[in-house]
Amino acid sequence: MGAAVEQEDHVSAEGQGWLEERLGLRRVARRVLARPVPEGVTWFHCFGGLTFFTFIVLVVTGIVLAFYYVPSPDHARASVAYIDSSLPFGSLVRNLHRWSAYAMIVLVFLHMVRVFVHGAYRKPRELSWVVGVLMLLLVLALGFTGYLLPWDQKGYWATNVGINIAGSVPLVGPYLADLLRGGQQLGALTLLRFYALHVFVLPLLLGVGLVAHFAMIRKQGISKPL
Amino acid sequence: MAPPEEEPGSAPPWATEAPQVAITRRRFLRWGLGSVTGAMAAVLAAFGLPPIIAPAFRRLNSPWSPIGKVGAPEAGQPDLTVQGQVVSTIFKRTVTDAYMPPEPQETAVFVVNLGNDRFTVFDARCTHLGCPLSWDQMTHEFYCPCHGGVYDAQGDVTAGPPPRPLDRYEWKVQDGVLYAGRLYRVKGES
Repeated sequence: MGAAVEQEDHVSAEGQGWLEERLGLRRVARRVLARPVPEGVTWFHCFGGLTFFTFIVLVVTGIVLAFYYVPSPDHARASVAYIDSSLPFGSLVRNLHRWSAYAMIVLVFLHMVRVFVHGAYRKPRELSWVVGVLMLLLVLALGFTGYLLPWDQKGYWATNVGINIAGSVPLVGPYLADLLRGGQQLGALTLLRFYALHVFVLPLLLGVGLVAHFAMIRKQGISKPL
Repeated sequence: MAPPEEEPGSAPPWATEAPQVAITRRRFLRWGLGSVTGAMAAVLAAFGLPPIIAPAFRRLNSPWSPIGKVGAPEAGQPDLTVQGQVVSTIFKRTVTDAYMPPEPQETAVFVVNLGNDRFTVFDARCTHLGCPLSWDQMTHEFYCPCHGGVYDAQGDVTAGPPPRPLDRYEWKVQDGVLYAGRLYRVKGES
């Protein structure tokens, strides 16, 4: 009798799995994944999804890097060198992070070009476009803040130039520059706040934008191609 | 806009009987996309996990570090000449700590001169939970202040919770100087 009860635990009367009987995940998965797609959709429609793929790669490799990177002028370069030279697959993970970042920016633009050429931003999808443009700014900001983190000559001077450009904004420019720099001096505080932006603030905002972007696609469907 | 229903008669993937329906486009795509997605996740995990778990398999490197002269001591150095005497001292060990610049680390030990240029170098931490031990010259015992662990002069446990005798350092005498090397543990009575 015990065996019979045990068997019922694993397979329900309809032959469903143990988890399925309790959670009903197949129904959820079908609702989320099985959506009608208009005819004539091509590979050009993949750029958005590919951008999201690079986002996932960046999150995963970024988490691995966060286990070793130190956002301090004393140790930033040494910890990056340690990742590159002493960590198994460390150099691979760091380069995946770097190249995925490059690829993400390229793919974002290709995605925008596709949407623009197809006129897919028109009613009712204006908000998808607006959120998308905001996410473009977030992606560029992520690229800019990440560039400084290795604390090498290139990142240091590129950040110097970038902050000076922000400083040339009329009226608020000098305050904006000091805000980004964390004071008058490009140094320890700059590195730390770029790190905080790069690792906490910007990815979180980007995640919120992605949820909104995807929810709107779910609601409105993919626009009919030309 | 209701999602299209699955074809009737398609069996769930865990069904033991062979499905009666031929492979449909939907089924093919579902499994194809699922496999590719799974493969990409597996590749990411294969590169992402090793760096995180690597430190668990890394061993500390322990270069030979001088404790003191075996003969008559210089000023500020431990006196290791008295045979059978437990000498509490501190030596400097250069430990490599990832990307930190190498820095000498002060390490407390108890050194016992066994005679004939033979020594025992006890680690000064309790084998229970690592509290620093003190040597009582009156009772000839090592005491742990945390949980009442007691060891005799040979490093064997005489009371309290320690699971094994005191840990020791490998040692060598070179040019009249005692060096400590790798830390090791001994099991049971020694």
